[in-house]
Amino acid sequence: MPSKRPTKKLAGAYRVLVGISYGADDRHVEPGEIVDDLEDGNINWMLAANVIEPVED
Amino acid sequence: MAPTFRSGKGARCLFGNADMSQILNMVTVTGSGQALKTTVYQNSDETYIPGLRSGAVAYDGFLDGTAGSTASTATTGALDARFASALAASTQPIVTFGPEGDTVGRKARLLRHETVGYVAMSPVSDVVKVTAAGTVSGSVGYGYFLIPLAARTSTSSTLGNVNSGIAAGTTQGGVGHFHMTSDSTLTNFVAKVQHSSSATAWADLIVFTASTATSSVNSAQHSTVAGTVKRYTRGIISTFTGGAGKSATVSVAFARNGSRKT
Repeated sequence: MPSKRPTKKLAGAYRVLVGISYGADDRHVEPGEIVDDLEDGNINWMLAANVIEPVED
Repeated sequence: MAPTFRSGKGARCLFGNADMSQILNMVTVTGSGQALKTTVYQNSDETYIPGLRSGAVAYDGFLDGTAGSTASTATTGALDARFASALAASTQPIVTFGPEGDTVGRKARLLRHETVGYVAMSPVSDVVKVTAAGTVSGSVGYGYFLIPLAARTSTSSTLGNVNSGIAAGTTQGGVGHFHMTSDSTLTNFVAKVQHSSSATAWADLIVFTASTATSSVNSAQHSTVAGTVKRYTRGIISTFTGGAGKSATVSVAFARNGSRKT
């Protein structure tokens, strides 16, 4: 029986806790700013490393 | 993988805000550890446990005593003064040594030391020489260069990155060194060590700031960081402001703590 993984919507708005650089243009964002265009693959490790946090609705 | 050997001629030695490669022809960085004997009755073989680690550095080269030396890319003043002043200094010099040069990813030794000796020798039939020695304070960071020493004129995030090959990264933090050996009309400069799991998005790990406001241009900085260092690391220049002809000659190196050194 296949396990049912919890689904979590990664895309969304995140508050940056330390400076980050990302995207094709290597855009640099300073702590405190809100970003909403991070790729899922980067959201995972940045959340785990406390680089970003979800913005509360 | 077959080993790669390189000539020592490209070695780089950054000492505070000076590129001492200009006068040195031999640098020796030694790391050692105590082996404490724990052999007891009934043992057939000697046994040991590890004790304290220690390090030492020795420099050999030629004397540069020219006042306001133009041979030095480091502001003004003879490189002789760098070693001499370090003898009595209350602040230990920040030293980064690249045995194979300072191309991105090449090995670097990051250390601070108490300077314990400085000798000038004047053989009658040879060039005036110097030797200096120091006892390392703390540990020697075995790391790699992220920004090679070069004159920069603008921000940059395309200097390359270093892949540790460890998907999860390392967990014991690290140490970064920043050296600025000269500048022109610079007012504000920020270089960063960044890390990443993907190499497609990067988080700041260490931030080095040099500005005229803090009188820290032409500076050397030593900064430690705790916790996880992700798989990839890189050096970037994120802020660069000054006059029309602004430039800054800088280098950045980083060492992970623990057994993994890339």
